[in-house]
Amino acid sequence: MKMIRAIIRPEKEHDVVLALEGGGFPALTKAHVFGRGKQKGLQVGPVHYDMLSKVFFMIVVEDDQVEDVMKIISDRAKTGFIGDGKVFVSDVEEAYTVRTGETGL
Amino acid sequence: MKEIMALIRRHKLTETLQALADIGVVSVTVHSVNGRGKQGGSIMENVDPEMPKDIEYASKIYTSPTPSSMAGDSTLTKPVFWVPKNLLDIVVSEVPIEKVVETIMRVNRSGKYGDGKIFVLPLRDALRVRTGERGDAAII
Repeated sequence: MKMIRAIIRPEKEHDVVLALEGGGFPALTKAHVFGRGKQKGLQVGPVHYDMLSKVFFMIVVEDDQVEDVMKIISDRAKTGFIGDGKVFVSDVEEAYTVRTGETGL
Repeated sequence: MKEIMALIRRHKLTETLQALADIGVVSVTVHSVNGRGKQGGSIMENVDPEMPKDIEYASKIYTSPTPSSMAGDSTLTKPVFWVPKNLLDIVVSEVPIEKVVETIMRVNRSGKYGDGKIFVLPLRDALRVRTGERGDAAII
């Protein structure tokens, strides 16, 4: 199992969620976060924005589904400009369902 | 060293923290998140059984239905909504993982959909900022 953590533009949230749903991944967790990347925020004229608003998605899927999810996210969240976001993938050793106590997704 | 991420119901937070403190896990990070699971969020019948199961009617009551209720090409046919949850982030090294998982499951189990999920992740390193300790010493 792998955990996919994606940080994307807030205006692309709707698109990405729809696409994930269509791709068979209805289960996800989202949070609104603030952050900055390599460019150290954003400079617009005299104004410097240190932290930018982003949407954070957390999705746990089986190993063979990781590529599908990453493709969906990168297709839908892409604009080609800086600030499109990042996707991180990490290992998950075990998942438990609280209601039943079962292991696995 | 392992990281335990648990998604739980918001009103169970205090109870869960108390139960975790009882087994010696006091350091917890709590996030406020929205989410949904395999069922695709809470559906009308689960909220109120008396409520008409009409999708149009349901979307009139809820002012902000999630994309799937509006999506023409969606594979889901029922109205779904983001469910507010708390995400607990716990890093443990001494207390057995099974004990923590068992405690969270015991407190949060109601038998209904939406009780939550628990994920166990491997963790490579930790650093205590105050002293500069690394690894297990930073957690204990």
